[in-house]
Amino acid sequence: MGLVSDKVWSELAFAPELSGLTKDEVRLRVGETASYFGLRDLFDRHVETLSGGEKQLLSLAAAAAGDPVLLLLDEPTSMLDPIAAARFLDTLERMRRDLGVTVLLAEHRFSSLYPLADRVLALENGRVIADGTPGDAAKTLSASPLFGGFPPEIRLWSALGCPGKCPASIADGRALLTKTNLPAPTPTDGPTGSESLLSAENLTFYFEKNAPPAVTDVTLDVKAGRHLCILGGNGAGKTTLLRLLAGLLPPTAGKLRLFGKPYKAYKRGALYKEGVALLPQDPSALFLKSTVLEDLTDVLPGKKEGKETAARSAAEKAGLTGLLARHPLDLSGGECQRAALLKILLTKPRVLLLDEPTKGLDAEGKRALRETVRRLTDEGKAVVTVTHDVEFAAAAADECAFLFRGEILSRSAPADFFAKNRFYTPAVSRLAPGYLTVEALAAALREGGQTP
Amino acid sequence: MKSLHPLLSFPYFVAVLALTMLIRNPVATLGSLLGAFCYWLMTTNGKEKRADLGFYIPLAVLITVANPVFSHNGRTPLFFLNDNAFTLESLLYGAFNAALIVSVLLWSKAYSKTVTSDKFLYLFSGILPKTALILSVALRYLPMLRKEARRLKDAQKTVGLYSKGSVTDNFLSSCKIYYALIGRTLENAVGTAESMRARGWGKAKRVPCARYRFHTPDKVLAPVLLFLFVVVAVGAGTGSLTFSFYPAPTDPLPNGFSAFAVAAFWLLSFFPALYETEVNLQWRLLQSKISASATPQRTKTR
Repeated sequence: MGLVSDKVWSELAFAPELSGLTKDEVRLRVGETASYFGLRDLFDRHVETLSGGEKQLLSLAAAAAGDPVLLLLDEPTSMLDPIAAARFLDTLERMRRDLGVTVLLAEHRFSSLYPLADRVLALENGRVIADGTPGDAAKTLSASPLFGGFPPEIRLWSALGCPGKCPASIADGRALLTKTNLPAPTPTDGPTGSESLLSAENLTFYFEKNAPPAVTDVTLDVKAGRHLCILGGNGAGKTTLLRLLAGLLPPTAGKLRLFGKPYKAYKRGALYKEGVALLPQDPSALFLKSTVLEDLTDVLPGKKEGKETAARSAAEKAGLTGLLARHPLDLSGGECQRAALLKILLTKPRVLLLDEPTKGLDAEGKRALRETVRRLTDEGKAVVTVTHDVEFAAAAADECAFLFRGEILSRSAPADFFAKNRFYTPAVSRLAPGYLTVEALAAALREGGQTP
Repeated sequence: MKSLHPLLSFPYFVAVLALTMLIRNPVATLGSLLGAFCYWLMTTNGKEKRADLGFYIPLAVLITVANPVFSHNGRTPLFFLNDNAFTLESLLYGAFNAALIVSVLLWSKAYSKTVTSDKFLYLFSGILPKTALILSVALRYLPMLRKEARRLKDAQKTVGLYSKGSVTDNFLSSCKIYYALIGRTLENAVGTAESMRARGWGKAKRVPCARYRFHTPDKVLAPVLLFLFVVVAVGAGTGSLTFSFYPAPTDPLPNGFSAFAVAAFWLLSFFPALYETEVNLQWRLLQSKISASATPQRTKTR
């Protein structure tokens, strides 16, 4: 993120102060920049009190205050939720249009910014594998694993054999579908009832006595062999709920039980011995040592030599041998996520809690994560994921719940859940309601015949 | 006070603190204490007031009583404690010290509430631009480290750290976390340095942003405050404010100039409270004008 100062205003003043302006010109530039980027209300705030989205917007504003002609951005939205990411990209786009700044952006989750690009470059192992307009690049890359990360309307367009111009929005994508007969989707049911591993009863949590509660009266049953996805916007209380379930926060009211036994009966970390485990939002927090191998070895029980071999073989199984000798902080977002999940799994949890596990993952990484979760649930373990990522939830969940202001508003199987939602639904479902993946939609189109 | 230019508020507080500590005259110290107390009343909320009183009152009582217990100077014994005289003068001296210490604490509190780190940095960025910037960077690191430590602790708990519940295990776990924290801080510092260079650090002389302007009140008040300070300083320097508790209390106003010096010190001490009252009154007045002019319109629309 590259923030330098303690206060928002001094962050904004940093570049102008060094660009040879007079004191009053610096003051004007800072005020102007803060107004343009909508940072007026944050002006006197301490940088550390800002949310991730606000910080990212601030670093964009601080860069813009230096009056650049070229902006280089390295994965600017990878740590943001979709709404904050959209706001960031809107601002970036406005800056490009208004100020004529050239933007060079590197990103592996590019679905939402693809339509904004004038030119697309794809890199693989240091080689350029596609270069051209978004439409041309989409045609070149249609067989590459990268294609899974493309916007759904472009994937659909490609699946239909690239008729006419490349669609630039969901609306263009809908126009593609009006020419075809679309069969109604066939809903699929997930696996049903089994033994309950973790249960929460009327769980309520207040951070402060006089503030509204962060979690309100949540009753949940986490069943063996099921993957529950909890969706919700920023500040809905998703992370707080997960930390409560992980026993890291004491509930203000309500009961928590693991294997039918109340949390209070688990003393001295017994809760985490083949019980609950949490993958935190920033997975790098799980690493303390100077190599991944040391960190993995650390969580295993038993004698030293045996532990190291066990850690190595576990990494080999997960396909992460290449990461073992690396420093945890040098890993990319996706690598860190996978290594962290491996470390968590070494503690053999029966209930796995995942906080935004798709943050920083590309299409391929998400597919691998889906498979891991599926394998775990098949082994009879339970997985609870809180996420903004509706596409992931649609593809991976057995059950979805929507959290708003700390309350669970609805809970059902994904097909049912997303058919009811209008905003919290995968882009494909907005393209063709009821469909959760492009693959399903394309298959339906092929079967149903494309000609009107 | 918060709206005044830091070039005014910073020297003001430094001067008042210095005078309070140096002048050892009970009448002057009483003025300093009352002035600081009035400003404290205006700038703290109920919760803070309760917490502060819970600290200052026992402290004052302790200092007042401790002196006569240990020091037996003075002419007027009140009673005897283990054959040692508990004297009136010693008790008075204790009370004076208590007042002095409490007023120094109150002034320091007032200083930190009024002259925030922004203002301090602004003042010194002209003289010591690099030091001021480093301070600003460092000030960001403190809350960041606290947050990071908390995050690491939470993440590690679910994978087995802090799991045995014994004191040694807790200690070793904390050591591991602080060790990792150092590495992260260094990593972060490299990022900060890169970001600073990318935004032009080291290429040009730094011109600090003009955040504060010298407004009319600043221009009017600066000479007044300076005059008051000079009067007090001359009074203190010429011995017009000397006072002694032992063997018996002397006259707190030994010569003709003393009264002026003490009056000036009282005025100086009450300045924040007076200024705050003036601002509040003006505000009320303006508010009543706004609502007076707004009321007829509102009735019209109805």
